[in-house]
Amino acid sequence: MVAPSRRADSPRTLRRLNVPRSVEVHIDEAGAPNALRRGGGWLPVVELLDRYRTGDRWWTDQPIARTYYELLLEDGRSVTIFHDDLRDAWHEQRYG
Amino acid sequence: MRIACVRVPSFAIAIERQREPNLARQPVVIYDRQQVLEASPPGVRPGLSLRQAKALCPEAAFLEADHVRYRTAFDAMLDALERVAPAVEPAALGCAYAGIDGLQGLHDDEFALAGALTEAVRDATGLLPAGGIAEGKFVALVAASSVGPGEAGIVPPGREREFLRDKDIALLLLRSAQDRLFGPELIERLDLLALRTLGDIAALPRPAVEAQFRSTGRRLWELANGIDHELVRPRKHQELLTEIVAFDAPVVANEAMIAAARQIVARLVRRLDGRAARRMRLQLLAEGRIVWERQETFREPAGDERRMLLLLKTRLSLLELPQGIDTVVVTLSGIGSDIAKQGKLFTDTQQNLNQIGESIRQLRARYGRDVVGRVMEVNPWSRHPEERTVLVPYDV
Repeated sequence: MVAPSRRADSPRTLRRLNVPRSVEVHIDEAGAPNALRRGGGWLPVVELLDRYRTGDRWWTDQPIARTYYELLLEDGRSVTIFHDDLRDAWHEQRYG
Repeated sequence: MRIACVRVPSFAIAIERQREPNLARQPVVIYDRQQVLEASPPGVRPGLSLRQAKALCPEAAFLEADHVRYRTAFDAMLDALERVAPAVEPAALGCAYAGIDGLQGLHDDEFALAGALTEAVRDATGLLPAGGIAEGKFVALVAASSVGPGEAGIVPPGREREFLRDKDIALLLLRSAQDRLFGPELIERLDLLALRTLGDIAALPRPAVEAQFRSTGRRLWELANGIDHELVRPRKHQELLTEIVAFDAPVVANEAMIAAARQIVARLVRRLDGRAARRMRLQLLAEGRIVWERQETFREPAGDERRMLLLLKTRLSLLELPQGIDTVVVTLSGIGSDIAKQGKLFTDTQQNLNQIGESIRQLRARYGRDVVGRVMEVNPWSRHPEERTVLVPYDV
């Protein structure tokens, strides 16, 4: 008996979009990001466009505390990154 | 290659003291995420926790870092330097390099050139930096760090090693803000090896330093000897569009400011010529001084009068200024190519939906799973982007 080459329908799941991805960030003396790791090198931040904080679910065992930075990079792209203030880690995230 | 370094030490504190002159007589600690970034009182080091800093110096003013304001002031500093020297590279907040080869002939000597650079920064920002000129970035940086505000340290060619001999190894950290080779742990290691001045390192044979510090060793030895061949990398420029309306006499009425904004936006949109801007800065001036300013970032690039004016009206109508203003300035930045809107794939005609449905059924049969999804908003107002939307299989 030969197994069908096609896989059976996978369970119909919801997939979250814009999930944060880890990013390596270099910060300046004032603690603001001034370069992002891209491939083998660092891509300088040309302009810090915006900075804001979010805090949520502090009443649960999975609290969120982030400092978001919107950055303009030297290659002309703008990116949104955040610092996870509870886990001391940097992440990149699509804005919307 | 002759390079000038222009530096405002403790840049963030300088900006805060400029904003609030009373802070000049008080120790200041600037923090971010409960960690000290800059501190004027001795003993309070960057990296300490806010709690430790408060215990060490309870009388200090503790201010949360205002990164956007610091960056704006730093941009003004870079703009000012570029009016004197065309190739200017930002090194770290409050510190920049300028290539000066060929500019010496325009000034009496290098002291005069350094003076022109520091004066330009003072005129543009109100902050008086220190200047240094030398062969290479590192020696210029150390020269600028060795003198006071408004002064210049000039190191003649060939005297670099001699100049650096008694300088503290901690100065390497200033240079590392840019090339990211050295961290505080390296300084601790050097200290453990009783290497406390740059001269101590320079006196060692280069292979010995390389053997101890591997890839970092070569750079370390070169810098200690005043060898720094890195070129000045000028910052990239972005297009800015600025429009100004000046009143004959100071105005306080918000309606007058909104009328000026309307006039300005119409002019800016004409100059955009079909393109869009990501950011808009609004400044209100009185007798040449900025009374109020705000930078806004559009969520989607804007190229139309309606959206720009809506934002300006919202800001201006709620404004209560302590004094009249005589000038309104609006600057657009982040200017991009023509605005393009993606068309809808799913129009509501039945024929269109039938065709798409059939295509999706064929794709599912071909791949054995859902390959077409629909983006669905589940929590569009969440402050965390990953909670706003999900991808669900497209139901035919």
